[in-house]
Amino acid sequence: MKRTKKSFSTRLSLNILLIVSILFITALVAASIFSHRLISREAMKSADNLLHATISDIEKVTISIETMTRDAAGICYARPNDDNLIRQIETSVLRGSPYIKCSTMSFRPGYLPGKKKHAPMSWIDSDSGEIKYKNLGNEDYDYLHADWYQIPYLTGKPVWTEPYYAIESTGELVTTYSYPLKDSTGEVFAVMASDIDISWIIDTVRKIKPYEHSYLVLVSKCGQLVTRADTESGNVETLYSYALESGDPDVLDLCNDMLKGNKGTRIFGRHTKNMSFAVYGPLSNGWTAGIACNYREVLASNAKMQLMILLIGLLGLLVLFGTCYAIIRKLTKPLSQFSRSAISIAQGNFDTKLPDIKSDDEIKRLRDSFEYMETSLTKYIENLKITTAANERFESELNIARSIQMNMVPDDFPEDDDRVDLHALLQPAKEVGGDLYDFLIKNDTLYFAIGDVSGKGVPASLVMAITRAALRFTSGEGVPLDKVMSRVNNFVSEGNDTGMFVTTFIGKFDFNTRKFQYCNAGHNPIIVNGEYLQVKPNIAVGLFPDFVYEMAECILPENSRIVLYTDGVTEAENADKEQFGGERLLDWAKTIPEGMNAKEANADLMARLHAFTDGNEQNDDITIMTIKL
Amino acid sequence: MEVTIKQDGNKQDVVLNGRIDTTNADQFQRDIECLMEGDKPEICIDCSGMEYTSSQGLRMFLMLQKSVMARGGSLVLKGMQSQVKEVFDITGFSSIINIQ
Repeated sequence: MKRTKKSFSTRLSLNILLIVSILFITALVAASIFSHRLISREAMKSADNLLHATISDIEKVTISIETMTRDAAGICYARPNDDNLIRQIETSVLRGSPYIKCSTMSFRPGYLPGKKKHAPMSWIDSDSGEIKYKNLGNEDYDYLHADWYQIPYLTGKPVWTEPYYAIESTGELVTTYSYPLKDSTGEVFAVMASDIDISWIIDTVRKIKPYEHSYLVLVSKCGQLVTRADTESGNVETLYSYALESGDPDVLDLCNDMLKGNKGTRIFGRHTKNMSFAVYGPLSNGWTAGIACNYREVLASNAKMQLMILLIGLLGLLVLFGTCYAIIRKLTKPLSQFSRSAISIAQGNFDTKLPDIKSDDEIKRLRDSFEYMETSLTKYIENLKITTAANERFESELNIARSIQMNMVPDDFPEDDDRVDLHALLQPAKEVGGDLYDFLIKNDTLYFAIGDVSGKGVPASLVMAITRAALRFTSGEGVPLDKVMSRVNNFVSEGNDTGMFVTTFIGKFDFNTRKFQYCNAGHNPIIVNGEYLQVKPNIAVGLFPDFVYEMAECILPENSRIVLYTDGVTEAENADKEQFGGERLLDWAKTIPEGMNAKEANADLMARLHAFTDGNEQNDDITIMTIKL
Repeated sequence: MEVTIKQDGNKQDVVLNGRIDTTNADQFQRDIECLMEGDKPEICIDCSGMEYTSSQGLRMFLMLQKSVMARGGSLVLKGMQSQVKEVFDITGFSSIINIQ
């Protein structure tokens, strides 16, 4: 047996695998999209929370500094010209807050009598940690144009300055909170300033890292990126330079919104691998804080989880395939056994052992069907054997019957007789038939007969045998032909309830006198010398007993030719149901060449019949007898 | 072969169409079986549509004739085509069956 490339088990398992894979992948994709959204949302929320926590942490410090500065300024109102007091206050400010690195009280020039510029300043030396003191109002430094003095002086409002390097004091990057002191007319006469070291803010916000590469930015009022400040080189980047550098319109929008002091969430770097989101919000000192997180990083855990699910899923699919294959293979194993059984049965082994099936399912029913087929086939073959044997017996009996019947008609045709040339052919349509002929030459007289029993086959053959016997028994020397026919008729009619009849023609020819006597019993007219012999038909033998037959006689000239036949000749049909007919037969009889003997003539007529019927089935017995006298 | 039989008391009008040959002789026998019953039947068979009859067909006509005679009735065959009439003539059936 040719093995198919892929077994049923493999195909079914693969199909199941395919469907489950599709379902699995669909579920995975759906879960991925869902978790992507969920995680993004959660990440934004937690970044926002973190941002506000940070903002409030920073504000706690800035507000405390604002309060302290304001309070310190309030004390100075009493004795603005008392440098010792101011120095004491400044020292207590520095001691009071770990964030304040420098404290200055700067007076409007000329406010204190005799003092053009006066700005007593205290600061913590970064190396020794000691508090140092000096008057900033010297020739080298013009505090009047510094932001921390000028802005509150002009606006009359406290202010947080942009980050700058405090060259005169700590030399570090600072931002200053300046609080204006006003006289009774509302004019600013001094500014109390507290410098805050920015590095602590930077340190604070740099620790804020929800993700490895996320970052928090702090932007001053004018857009300086406080947290991006390079404390070494002193360069302070602005938010705009950063936005322009990125070339991303989303970043520009984000920067604009941040500088307006708004609160919000924005996505930038779309369609790049660095797609990120930012949450931002304003601080009470006018600055803005924002946290930017890279989506890739945010979703990294998600991607990891998906990879894990995928791996577990693939492993599961592999196990599923193996299990399916094993189960299906086990279930279908009987099928291949059935296949072998079927081949064995086809080879005739009806007792082939069938696979043992214990389950009660389709396979069991298949086994039952096979079993039923085996018993049915056994029975059928048994019957077939009996029938075939019977048919063979019947056929052999028919063959024997045929040879018996063929022996009933004589085949010892006269060969070297100058007086007569006689030959006859009998060809039954079936194994046996109802046609007959006979002849006898005795004492210068030729007796001959032809007959045709109605119907054909076995029934006709029995009547043929009776008729042939009757002809032999009843004809004797000196018995006239009409008497012979009557006797034959009575013999055949006796007990003939089935209505079988025999058309018969008998003739007698005296070689010496050339007298031809004949009697017809309903047979086809015979042809004498190319003409139908006009003769009284009487009636066929076997119809009515005691029928009186009439005979006739004539003298035949020399070289006469007589053709006798049965209706199997004239009624031979071709495929168009056209009969050979009496006309064709007569035409043939007229044109038989003089030199052709009886045997050749019979063969010639038979050949013509075959040519006419052209293979169409012979439906009646055919008999031809030609006599040359 | 097509056999149509119209019965009117003991009068039976039969119309035959087609051929009676080896293949349908048995069928023909069954078709005319109903004509074999009843007293003094008057059977008239229209043979104008009959194209051919084999010797088995002739036998049926003979059986019918015998049956009709035994029951004291009559059988007439009408309108027979010439080639069929010839068969009846040759076999002598014309002399025992009434052909018009």
